[in-house]
Amino acid sequence: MIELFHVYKEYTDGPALADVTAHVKKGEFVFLTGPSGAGKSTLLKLIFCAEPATSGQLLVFGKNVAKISGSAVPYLRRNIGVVFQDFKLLPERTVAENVAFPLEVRGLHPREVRRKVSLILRSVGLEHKQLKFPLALSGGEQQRVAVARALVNDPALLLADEPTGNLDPDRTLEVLDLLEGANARGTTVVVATHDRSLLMRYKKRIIALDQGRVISDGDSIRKAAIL
Amino acid sequence: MARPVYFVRRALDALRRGPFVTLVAIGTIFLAVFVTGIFAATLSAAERLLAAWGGEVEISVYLRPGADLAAARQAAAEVAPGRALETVTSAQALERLRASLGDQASVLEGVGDSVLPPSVEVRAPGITLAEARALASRLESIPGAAEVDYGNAWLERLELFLRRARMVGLLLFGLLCGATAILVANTLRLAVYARRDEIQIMKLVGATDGFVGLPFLIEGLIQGMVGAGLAVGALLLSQAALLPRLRGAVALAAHISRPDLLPTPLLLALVAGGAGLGFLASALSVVRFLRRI
Repeated sequence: MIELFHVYKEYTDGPALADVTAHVKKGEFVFLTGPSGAGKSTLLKLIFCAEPATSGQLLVFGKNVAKISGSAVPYLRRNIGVVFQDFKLLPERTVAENVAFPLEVRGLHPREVRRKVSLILRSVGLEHKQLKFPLALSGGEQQRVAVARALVNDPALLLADEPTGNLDPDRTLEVLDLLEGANARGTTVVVATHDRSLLMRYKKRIIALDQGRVISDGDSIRKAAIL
Repeated sequence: MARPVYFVRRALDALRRGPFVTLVAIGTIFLAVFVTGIFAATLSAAERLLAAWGGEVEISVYLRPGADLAAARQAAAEVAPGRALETVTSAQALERLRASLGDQASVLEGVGDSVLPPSVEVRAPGITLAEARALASRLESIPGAAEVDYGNAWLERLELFLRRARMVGLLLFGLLCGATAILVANTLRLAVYARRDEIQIMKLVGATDGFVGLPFLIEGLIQGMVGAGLAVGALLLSQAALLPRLRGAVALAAHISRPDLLPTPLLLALVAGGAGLGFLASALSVVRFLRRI
């Protein structure tokens, strides 16, 4: 699903990723962890083609992203759902309109869009709030809307960048349960987080980064959690 | 839903959601088209006034002494059909000269009646310099013609003046269009910038540049059409208010009508130009923004 071979990413103020080599198989649930500035968000940006790697090879769905033309990137992204810490919802659009975005982009019939939006909102427990605006919802609800938007297209891959960073513990678990549910239905999930409690609670593979380098990769939760 | 309907709906929705930016964009295009229209109408009025002034051409065909004036008139009528003709005998020419000299007419005392040549005068209002030249050339061939005078000296100067005025006008017009395009592009950039979050999210969920950009282009087109349509309406109202006053102030303006000042093709061109301007300015803005993200 995702293959990184000696990937480097450098910004003008220094390297963000250095010699990162890792593989994520189809159907896996992986935590990406490390302190702030470790390179977690940068790695996710490279995977969904928001930025190019400086060197090395990155394959997503078996395709070398460096060789994907700009016009093909949107079609790759349609298979990737992304969730952010700050939700990235449009405040002047309703919950349903926000969730419908990926479906409209694909050109689905409005009837089909409505059906899928209703289904996904039901699955995240927000069907009754589809006509509300995001700012009328709690932080946890907003993040569930963001998760619904990321999952409404049934993506093969879901990337979440600190999805629980702004949530209290109960809401954090709600969101993580949604991601785990998606993973159980076959979606490969990569979650960037520095929340040690999540690493302890969910027994998943952990790739730990520090200063742009992979320092640990495996199931050794404690080893990563003590960073 | 057909995709075009979807894009138009999104464009209209965006116009509704951002009324301030929409009004600024429409206002900018309104001003640009209105100023352009005023400029074009002023040029058009100036040309029309100059043409009315310069078009009062009188061509004099001076005949050789003893030439048959009636035959010359007949020939002139054939060469210049439909033009007002007047024959002037030598005696009448001398009388005119005497009248024009006024108190100094005494210098003509003792001058014989036949000292001035008889002539046929052809009045050709509304004629251009090229037409006057051609007519004068034809009149040279009438029987007994010695010289043809069509006031070429001042007509040439007038033509030169008109030509230069047109060139300066076109230059100013070009500059105005360029400045307008930049102004509108900057205004519409605001519209694109105001929706940067929406664009970024659309790109994030896999929208192509075409999907993101098309509603902006439709918005630009609509804003351009509305702004230009309002400007054309304002131009027509201004013309209706000002033309009677111009007619009262300048005698030559009596001939000027609405189609002279604001011909229908110009009005249509202004609306099309405004729409095109909105479209192009939107395209420039959205393409520049999409390249950056």
